[in-house]
Amino acid sequence: MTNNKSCQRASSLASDACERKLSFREWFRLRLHMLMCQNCRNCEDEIHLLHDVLALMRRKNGTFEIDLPQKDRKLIRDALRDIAEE
Amino acid sequence: MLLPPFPVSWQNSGMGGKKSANDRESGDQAGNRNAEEWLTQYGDYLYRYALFRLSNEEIARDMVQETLIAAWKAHEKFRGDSSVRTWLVGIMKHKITDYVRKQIRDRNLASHLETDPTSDFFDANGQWLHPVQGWNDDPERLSSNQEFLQALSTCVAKLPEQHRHVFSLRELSGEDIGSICKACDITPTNLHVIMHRARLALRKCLEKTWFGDK
Repeated sequence: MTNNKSCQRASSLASDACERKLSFREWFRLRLHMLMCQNCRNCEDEIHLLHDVLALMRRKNGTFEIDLPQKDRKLIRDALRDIAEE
Repeated sequence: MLLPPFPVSWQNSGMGGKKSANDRESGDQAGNRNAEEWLTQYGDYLYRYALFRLSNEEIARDMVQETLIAAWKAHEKFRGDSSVRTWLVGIMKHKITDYVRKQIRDRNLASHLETDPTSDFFDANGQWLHPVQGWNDDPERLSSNQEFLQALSTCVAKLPEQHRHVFSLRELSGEDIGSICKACDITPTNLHVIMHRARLALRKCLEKTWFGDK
């Protein structure tokens, strides 16, 4: 991974590691590259931070504090009544 | 005319067993359970759930409506093994997956893999074009920060459509890789490529809109 496309490939493997277990060869090459590249270390940290934040939000049922707007609530209520009348 | 209430057997059995604290707190009482009651009690929760995953208010509203209609049509099958909210969310998850599958198939979004947006971040030798700054933040703190969630949602909404759908199913809904590949008609390798591209685009967007001025 010290050849062409090294950082691009490293960031791809760092992302893949969130989805699957890397092979030993992939893992070793990634770690070797990380030893030499601060940019990729930062990128890997950020990918993992984002992944961890989203996992925590799923666990906490994280959602926005936004209510269903009243006009939309009325539209849905009307639709439900239409269906009931069919 | 109100939609039909739950069967009497549910009303007498307190919805048939396990109930979440949320259901108990919301005063889920016998006699007034019907689709309009679900809209009143769970409309906000369902809307937030859909909005977070779809990043579009109009589609989120449609998902709430479709979920409640499907729930009403299928209410006799609900046996009360879970809370009403959990049951409704289960229906909504299927609705969202169906919607995404339809979008990707109807609009042939899988063909968009041919262009590589990550090439914007690297030079011809695959080296970073610009320095990557460190973020140094705490996942626990960020996951509870509504302003950050808004910034993240705005960035997710800016992703190319196919990336947004796949990323949302994987990271926001927590679907497994197999079901996403099946729903979106892509291979696991395609999924890895999409996730990589989506993550780099989100990283760049958040660097500008959130971490840049912190």
